[in-house]
Amino acid sequence: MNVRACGAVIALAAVVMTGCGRGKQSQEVATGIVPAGSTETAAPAAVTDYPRPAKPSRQYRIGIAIPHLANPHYVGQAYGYIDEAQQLGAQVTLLEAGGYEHLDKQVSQVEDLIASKVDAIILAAISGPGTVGVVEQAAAAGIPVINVNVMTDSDKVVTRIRSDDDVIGRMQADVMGYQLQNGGNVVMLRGAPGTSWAEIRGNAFRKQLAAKYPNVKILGEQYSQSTPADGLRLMEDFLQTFPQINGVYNGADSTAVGAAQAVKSAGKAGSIVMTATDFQLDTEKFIREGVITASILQQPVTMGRWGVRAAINHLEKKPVPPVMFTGLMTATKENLDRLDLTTLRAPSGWTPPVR
Amino acid sequence: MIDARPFLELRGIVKRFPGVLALNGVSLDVRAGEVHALLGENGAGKSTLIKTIAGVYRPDAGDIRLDGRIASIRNPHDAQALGISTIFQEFTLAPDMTVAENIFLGREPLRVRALSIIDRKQLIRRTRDVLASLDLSIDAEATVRHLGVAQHQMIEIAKALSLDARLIIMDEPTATLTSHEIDRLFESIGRLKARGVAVVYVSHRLDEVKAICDRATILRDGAYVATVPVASTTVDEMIRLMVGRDLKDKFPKTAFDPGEEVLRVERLTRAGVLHGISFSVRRGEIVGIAGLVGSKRTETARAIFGADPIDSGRIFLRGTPVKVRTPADAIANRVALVPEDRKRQGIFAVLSVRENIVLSALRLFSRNGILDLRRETRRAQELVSALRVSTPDVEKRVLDLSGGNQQKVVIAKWLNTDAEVFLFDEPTRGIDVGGKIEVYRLMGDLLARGAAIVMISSELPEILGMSDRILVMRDGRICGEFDRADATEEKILNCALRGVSDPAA
Amino acid sequence: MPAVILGLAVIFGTINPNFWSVTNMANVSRQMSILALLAIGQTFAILSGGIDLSVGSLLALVSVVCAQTMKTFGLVEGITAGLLAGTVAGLISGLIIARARVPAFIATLGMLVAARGAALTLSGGLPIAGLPREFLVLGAGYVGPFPIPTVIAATAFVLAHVILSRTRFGRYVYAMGSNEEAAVLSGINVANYKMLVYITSGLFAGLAGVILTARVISGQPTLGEVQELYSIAAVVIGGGRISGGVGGIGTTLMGVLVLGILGNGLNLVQVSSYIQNIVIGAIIVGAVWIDLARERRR
Repeated sequence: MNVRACGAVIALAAVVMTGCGRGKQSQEVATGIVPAGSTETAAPAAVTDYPRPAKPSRQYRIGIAIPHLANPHYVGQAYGYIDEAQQLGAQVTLLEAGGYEHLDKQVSQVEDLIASKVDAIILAAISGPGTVGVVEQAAAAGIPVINVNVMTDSDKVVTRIRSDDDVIGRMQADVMGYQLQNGGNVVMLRGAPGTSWAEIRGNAFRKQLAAKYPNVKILGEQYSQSTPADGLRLMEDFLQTFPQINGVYNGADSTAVGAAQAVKSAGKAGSIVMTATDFQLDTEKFIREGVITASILQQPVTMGRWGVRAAINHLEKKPVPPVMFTGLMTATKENLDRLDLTTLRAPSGWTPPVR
Repeated sequence: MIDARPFLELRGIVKRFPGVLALNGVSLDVRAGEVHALLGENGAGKSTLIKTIAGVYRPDAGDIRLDGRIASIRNPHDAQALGISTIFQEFTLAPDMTVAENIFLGREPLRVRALSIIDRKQLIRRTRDVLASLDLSIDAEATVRHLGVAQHQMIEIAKALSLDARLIIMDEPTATLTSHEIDRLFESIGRLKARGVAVVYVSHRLDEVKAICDRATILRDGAYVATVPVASTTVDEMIRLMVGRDLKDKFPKTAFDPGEEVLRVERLTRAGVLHGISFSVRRGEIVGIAGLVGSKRTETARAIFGADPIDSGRIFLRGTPVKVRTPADAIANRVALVPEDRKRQGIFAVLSVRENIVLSALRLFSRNGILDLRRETRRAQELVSALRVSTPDVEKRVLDLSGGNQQKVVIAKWLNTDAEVFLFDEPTRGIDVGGKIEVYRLMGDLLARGAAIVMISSELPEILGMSDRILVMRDGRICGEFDRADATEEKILNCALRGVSDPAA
Repeated sequence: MPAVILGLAVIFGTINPNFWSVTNMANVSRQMSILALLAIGQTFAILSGGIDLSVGSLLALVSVVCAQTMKTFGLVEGITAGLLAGTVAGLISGLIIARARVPAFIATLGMLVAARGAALTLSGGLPIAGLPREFLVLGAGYVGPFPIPTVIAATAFVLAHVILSRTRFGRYVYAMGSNEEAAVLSGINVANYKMLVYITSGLFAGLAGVILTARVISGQPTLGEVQELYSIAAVVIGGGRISGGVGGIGTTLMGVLVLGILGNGLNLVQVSSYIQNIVIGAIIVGAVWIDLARERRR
C-alpha cells in the first residue's frame, strides 16, 4: 500500500483537524478543563485554557518529582515547571528518579520533599498504586499533591493534569484505520508497564480499532521501558515473528524511534504505517523521512505550567478543577514546519537545573 | 673458584617495623662463587635481611655495596637489574603456564616490538639453553602445574640464571624436597659455583649446610653474631651460636611402654592411590612414616581422617571397626590430623588464636546455643601457656605468629577435642631448631597422656630420632617396616627408592 | 569509620538544616532499612567466602509473590508467601553452591537473572495493585517515633550480630571464609553450613522485599535493580573483606549508614542522582583502598 499517497490525504485531514496547532481546540480533538462534578473524559465544550494567575504575595516552595529527564517530553515539562515558577515567584525543587524502574527512589524522594516541608508537591507518578502511600502521607502532612502527566490511584490528589490519553489512543487508531483502509496487521509497542498513559492509550487504541476499523487486526503487543533500545529490540523481534506487519502503534515516541530504526534496517520504510505520541528530535526526523507516519503531540510545557498554576491557585485558596486536559496536535510530514512548538519543547539550549 | 674480594657487602643494616627492631646493625659479605649460609632461629632476622638484599625492604640505616661500589636498591626491580635473584619459599611460578613462559615472564623475546608479538621459537631455544646449562632434563614446553615440586625449584634456579644473576638467594630450598632431589639441587648449586655465581643459602637443616656451604653467618634476635667457616665448625657449635645456649637434646625422646593398640588399618585401598595399606599403632608409641615425595603418605593420613574416600579396607579404633567418611566422623572417634600445609589447610589466618583453638570443639563452649567467650578465652589461655605459644594474648591473629607458633596453635586445637590418635604430616616443616624441639616435647607429652602418634616426615633425622617404629612407603604401598633399633638412613632410603627392605638383596 | 559518618552528617546538616529534623531522620532510616536487610544477608554470604548477587532480583520476585498471594488469600498469607519465596530461592542457590560445587558468584548470578525473569513472568510485567490498605502500615507506619521498617531492620541487626558472634553457625561462617580447606579438616560440615548461609541471605531478602512491597503497596517486578551491588558495597565500605573471613555486622552497619546518609544528604542538597552514583563509586573504591593500605603497613 502506498503510504505516501495516503499521506497527502492524511495531511489534509490533519490540517483540518488541527487548524493552526496552537494548542487550542480543534474539531476532532477533545481537550479542555473539566469543571468540578463532570465526568472524566472531556467534552468539547469545555474551556481550553488555564490562564496564569496573578503573582502571589509570598514565595511558595514547590517540590516536583518526575520519573526521569531522559527524553524531551519530561525536559519540556521541566521547563514548564521552572519557567512558570519563575514567573510566579515560586521556588522549585525538581527531583527525578532516574527511570520508570525506580519506584522506590521516587517514593523516597517524595518523602524527602514532605520532610523539607514544601508548600505543595507536583508528582508525575511512576506507578499508580505504588505512590498511594506517599500521597496520603503528604495529604496527612497538609501538603497538597497535584498529579501531572502520570496519575496516582488516590482520591487525595488535588487535581490531575494530563493529556486525555483516551483521545490519544483513539487518534492513533484513526490514523491507522485510515491508512489501512483495506485492512491490515498491526503490532503495539505499548510503553512502560503499569503507567496510566500506557494503559489508557493502548486500550483506547484497541477499542477504537475494534469499533470502527474491524478489518485491522492486532497481532501482538509488548510493554517495555520507554527507550529507543527497547523499541528497536521489540520491533526486530516482531518483524521476525510476523511475516506481514502493516502498522505499528507506539504508546510513546521513544520506542517509536527505535522501531523506526528497525523498520529502516529491514528495508520496509514507507511500507509500514507507524504512529506514535510526542515529538522528540528523532521523531521529527523520522516523520520527515516518512518512516513514522504521524505522531500525536502532547504539550508537556503546558502541562508543567498548568501544574504550577494549579498549585499556586490552590495555595491561594482559589478553587481548582479536579481534572485538566492539555491540548493535542497531530504532526505529519506535511504540517511539520507549521507547528508551534513553544508548548511542546523547552527552548533549544535550555538544560534542567540538576547539578 | 671463590673470589677473595666480596661481591656483596652489607654494613650496619638497620631495619625497623612498627614495634619491632628487626635488624640491628647487621653485616654480611658474600664472595663470588661462594655458597654462604645464613643461619638463625625464626625471628632472628634472616627473612628481613634477605628481603632487604632483594629490594623488598629498604634499610633504615647502613649501606649495601656491590663490587665495592655503593648500590641503591630501592625495589626488587633494581635488585634484579644488579644481578640479585631470590628464590623464596613460596614459589612464584604461574602454574598454568609453561616452563619457558615462566622463565622469561616479562622479558619474552619479541618478534615485532611494537605489537608485542612473542617470538616463540627463540623463547623455547633460550629456555633449552638455560636448562641445559644446569644439566636439567625438564621439557621447556611442559606446563608447570604438571611438574613436581622439586622441578619447580629447578625452574626457579634456571629463571634466576637466565637473568644473569650474580647472586642467588635461596630461602629454605630443600623444605619440600626428598634427599634424592636434594642431591640434584646440590649438583646445580655446584654448577653455579663453577660459574662464579654467589649463593646465599638460608636453611634450618644444618647437615645440609655442612654439606654444601663454604661459610655461614649467624644472626640472633636481629643482631649479627658471627661468620664461621663451615668446614671447621661443628653443627653443635652452629646451634650454640644460633640459640645462645647449648642444646643437648635435639630429639627429646622418652621411651614409653606401649599400651594397647589404638589404631589399626587393614588393607586401605583407593584406586590409583593407596594399595592395601595395613599397620597399627599403640598407645604411647610414635610410628614414623618415611618415603619420597609422591609416595602417598599424606593420602594415607587423609584417608584415615576421612578427608578422602576409600574404596575398600577397614579402620579400627580401640579394637572396634569404624566408618570414617568425613573429618567429623574421625573427630568423633578422637582422631586428629595436623596437616602438611599449615597455611592452606591448618590455620585460619585472619582469625584469632582463641578462635583457632576452640574451633573443632565449639560444643564445649556453647550454652544454649550461645558461645561463652569467657570460657573460650580461659581455655585458650590455658593451652597457650601449656604449649608455650609465644603470643602477647589470645586475640592476636594467627597470621601474625611465627611458623612454629602457628603449628602449636594447630596442635592446641586438637588438644581440645580429646583426641587419642594424632596424625602429624610434616610437623616441623619450616620451623626453626628451637621450635622443633618444642614440638617434639609436645609429642612426648601427648604420649605420656596415652595418645598414639603417626608421624609423616621427609626429614630422616627426625624420623630416626623420634619414631619407635618406622614404616616406609613407596607409590602408595608400605614397602618396609623397621624397629627403632635397626633402622638406618641407608635402609630407609633404599626402601623408599627401590621398594626393597633389605639393601643386601 | 564512625568519624566519617559523623563528619558527613555534620556537613550535610550544615548545608541543609532540614537534615537533622525528626522527619528527615525517620525518612532516612526508613529508606535505609531495605538496604540494611539486604546487607545483613550479604554479610553472611561474603564472610563465608562467597557472595550473593541475586538479592536485588529477589526483591522483585518476593514482591510479586507476596502481592499475588495477598490478593488471592489475604494479608498474612501474602507476607508468609513473600518470606518463603526469598528463603526458597536462597535454598536453591545454596544447593547449587554447596552440593553442585558451582562457585557462588556464578550460582547467584544465575539466580539473579532467573529470579528477575520469574518475577516478570508471574506478573506479566505489570504491577499488581489492589493490596489491602493495612499492608501500607508495614512500610509507612510508626512505632512511637520510629518507622516500622527501621525497627525491623534494627532488630534484624541485633539478631544477626548475636548469630555471627556468638553461635557455632556464626563461627563456622568465619572459618569457612578464612580457610575453607582447613574448615573441612577441622570437622566442619561445610556443605551444610554454606546452604544455611544462602538460606539466611534469601530470608533477609524476603523480609526486605515484603517491606518494600508494603511501602509501594503494590507488587512490582521491576524493584531492586542494582540493589545487590549496593548491599555488597555496604559490606565492603564498612571494612568487610570480599575474600571472606573478615568483617561483621557492626562493620556492615557502618557501611549502610554511610550509603544511607550520603544518598539522603546529597538529595537534600540537590545533587543529581547521576552524580550521586559517581560519588558512591568513588567511596567504595576509596574505602577498600584505605583498608588495604592499613593492612599492608602491618
